Amino acid sequence: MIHNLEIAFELMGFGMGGVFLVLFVIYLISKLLIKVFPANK
Amino acid sequence: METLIQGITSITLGQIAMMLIGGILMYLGIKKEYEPTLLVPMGLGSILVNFPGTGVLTQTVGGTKAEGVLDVLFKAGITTELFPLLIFIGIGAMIDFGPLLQNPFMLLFGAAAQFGIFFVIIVAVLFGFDIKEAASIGIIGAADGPTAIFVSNQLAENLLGPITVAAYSYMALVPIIQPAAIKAVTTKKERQIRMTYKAESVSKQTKILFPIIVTILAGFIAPISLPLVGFLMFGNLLRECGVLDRLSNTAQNELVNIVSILLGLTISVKLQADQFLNLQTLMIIAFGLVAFVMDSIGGVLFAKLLNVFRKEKINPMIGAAGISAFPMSSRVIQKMASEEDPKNFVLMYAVGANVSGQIGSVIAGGLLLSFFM
Repeated sequence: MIHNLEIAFELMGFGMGGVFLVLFVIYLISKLLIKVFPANK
Repeated sequence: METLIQGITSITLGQIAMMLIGGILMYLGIKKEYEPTLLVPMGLGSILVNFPGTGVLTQTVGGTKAEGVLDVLFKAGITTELFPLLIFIGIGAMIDFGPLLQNPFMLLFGAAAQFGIFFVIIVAVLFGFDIKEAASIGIIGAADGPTAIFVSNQLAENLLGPITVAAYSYMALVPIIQPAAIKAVTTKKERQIRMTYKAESVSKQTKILFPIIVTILAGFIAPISLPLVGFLMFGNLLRECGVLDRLSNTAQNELVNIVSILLGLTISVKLQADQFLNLQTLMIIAFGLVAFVMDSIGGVLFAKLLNVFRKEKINPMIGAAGISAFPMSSRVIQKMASEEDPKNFVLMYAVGANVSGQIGSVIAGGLLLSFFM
């Protein structure tokens, strides 16, 4: 069980870190898209 | 005569219990309108699969193997992952990423509110599940039925039945679960925080390019998640491209409706008494609740953390809207905000976080799978 627990904590770091990283990159891309393709006023 | 009453004499208490559970699922779907699209077919399916010698499952009749229709559908639609993925096209076509693109900052809440998934993985391991089973149980916290089916079918197919029941049941119970969880970690003053609505204008090009770029990004970071992300974004591209309205409408209506009918009935293959009625099922249903609660708490605490550094405070309840249950969660947050302060309108922020939760949940599912590949 200790081994599985170690993997579970590793998975938490990988998963939460990965989700934050991907969504942060999507955030940057969204900002860029809004800047490059502004809406017509 | 003996043949006629064989069905009655050979039925087990477990099978009767599963039929009652099927009845409860149908009651919840029809009377309470909790996710009726899935719970009603699953309810009747549960009755169908629990008759001794039922013809909907594969049986050996007179030495010949007769394929049961639900087993055929299971192999065609669940084992291949086809049904949940087709539903994703429809969901993508239903999502308007506009409120999210108007406030891209809300994307971060879609990440924070996945916390329940990973918290429950640790809990499940502590209760003796192996790591792949624990990951499948954790994915209930994605608050996204098709993602839960997709991931658990690959990591722990034996737990597919209880995981699906838990995922859809708790999604329906978001209006009960979230207010309690949010109130446990916020003060009245925090819930009354008003947010001035500021929104970026979003062009058509941005809305078209967004699903394409997200697909490419997912392909590079977690290619195993491409069936989930790619089908979701394909549906959204149908919606936004402006030249495929007929396909978009079909994806949102006919496709989702037909596949939902088949998915609900087919999942019931896993609701057979000998597979469903055990201690594991009870634990999975309890852990599913923990996952939903911890999703909400994770989102709220992240918003509170951001408030330490921000001049313009965020209403921390917005963090809880970062789950995938759309639009239920954003409605719950607005209702709570109005109850604390009738003039507080946070709906558009909550919708942005909620839409972000849909992206976050599929990314989390994909990352779970890529961890084990």
